[in-house]
Amino acid sequence: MLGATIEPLSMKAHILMRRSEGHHEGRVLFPGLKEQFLILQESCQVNVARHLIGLDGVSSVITVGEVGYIPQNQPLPASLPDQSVTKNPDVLLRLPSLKESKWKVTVLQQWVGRVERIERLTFYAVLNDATNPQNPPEEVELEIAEISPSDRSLFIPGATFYWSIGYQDTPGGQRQRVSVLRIARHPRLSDTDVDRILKQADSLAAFLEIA
Amino acid sequence: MQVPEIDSAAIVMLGSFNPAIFQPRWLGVQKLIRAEEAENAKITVIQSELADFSTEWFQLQVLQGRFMVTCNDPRQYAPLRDLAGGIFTLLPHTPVTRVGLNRSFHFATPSIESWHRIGHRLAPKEPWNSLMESPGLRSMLIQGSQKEFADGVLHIKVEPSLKIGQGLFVEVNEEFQSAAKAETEGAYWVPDLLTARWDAILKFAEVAANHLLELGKE
Repeated sequence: MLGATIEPLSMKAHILMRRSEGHHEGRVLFPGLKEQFLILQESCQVNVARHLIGLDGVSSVITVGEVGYIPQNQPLPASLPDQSVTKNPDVLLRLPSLKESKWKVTVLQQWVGRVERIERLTFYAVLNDATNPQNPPEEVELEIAEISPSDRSLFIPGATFYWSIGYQDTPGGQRQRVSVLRIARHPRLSDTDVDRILKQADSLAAFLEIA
Repeated sequence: MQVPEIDSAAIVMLGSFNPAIFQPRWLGVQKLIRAEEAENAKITVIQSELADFSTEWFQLQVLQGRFMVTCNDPRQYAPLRDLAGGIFTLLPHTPVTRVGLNRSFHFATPSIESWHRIGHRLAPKEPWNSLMESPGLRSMLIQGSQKEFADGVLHIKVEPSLKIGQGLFVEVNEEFQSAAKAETEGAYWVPDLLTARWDAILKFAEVAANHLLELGKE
């Protein structure tokens, strides 16, 4: 990942976030590492760092990866201890770790659809196979009841939607076959954007006429 | 691809952000998320220095220098892209200097032999045996670029999973930098980048993970 720059933050609080839960037996890992995220005040700046504490009590600090993924796994204890981080004990606010899904989702098939026309109880759509993009588009008839009530205001001809079919395994061990359909949401274009796009179209049309 | 036990994706940006803007209600008003999602979002903290909240399908964390939206549901990866792209379509003047597109998996391996085989093939132990007892692969990070696209920097990380017994953790990250030299250039480039590259990196991550899992076979 990118070099680990500590991001300055003008904040007067110290924030701590615990992430991982120690070691698991039988792994080729350093056991007993606890991970914490700290935002610590240093003079006028606050730094973000990932703080690792080994079983032996020795602390080490590695900086947060930048645009790398928020670690789902144990990060490497790569850098030397930063005493300035470990000295400050105040903890005013604790951030939660990134949430983990309670359900295991197995996607069987995904499509990206476009609403073609809407009738009283059904609608017609063109589906593009997102799982196997080499498959040709197909037109299908679906029930309007498939659309979530909260998406109805966006449900118009031309609307794009994402449709997935798959399994969802609950924490209780129950497998459910689930169909999820969600209308795509894009910000409404501003008048300025519309003007810009129309001007681009005009200039392109003019260019094609000349050519 | 073998079905992973855990499948996650994230869009991370570096730049200068105003965390207080990033509120579920604002996303709802802008129709980037459903009104119900905005109302029922779990807000951890929204202050001028940081924002952190989650809905059923994504979590958003913003610091003054870092924006991150994550999702653990592969059915929602396209809406995740739309959400991030939509936010910066609405906030085009926000300075964004770098963008990272990320996907990670935790896979169960069929046997401990298969699990070790992946580690041995990625990092043969012969060079290490004279130095230490029982050397094992703890983490490997490889950098390169995609064969089809050279504009991003690609990272693939492989580790033993901490969440799945005898599991394999694979993380794929592709990082892009603003072409503009001035940080004031804004976020104009971000929605186009997401449109052009998000699906590709998700698919590439599956191919990469599958390739690594294949190393476990005899």
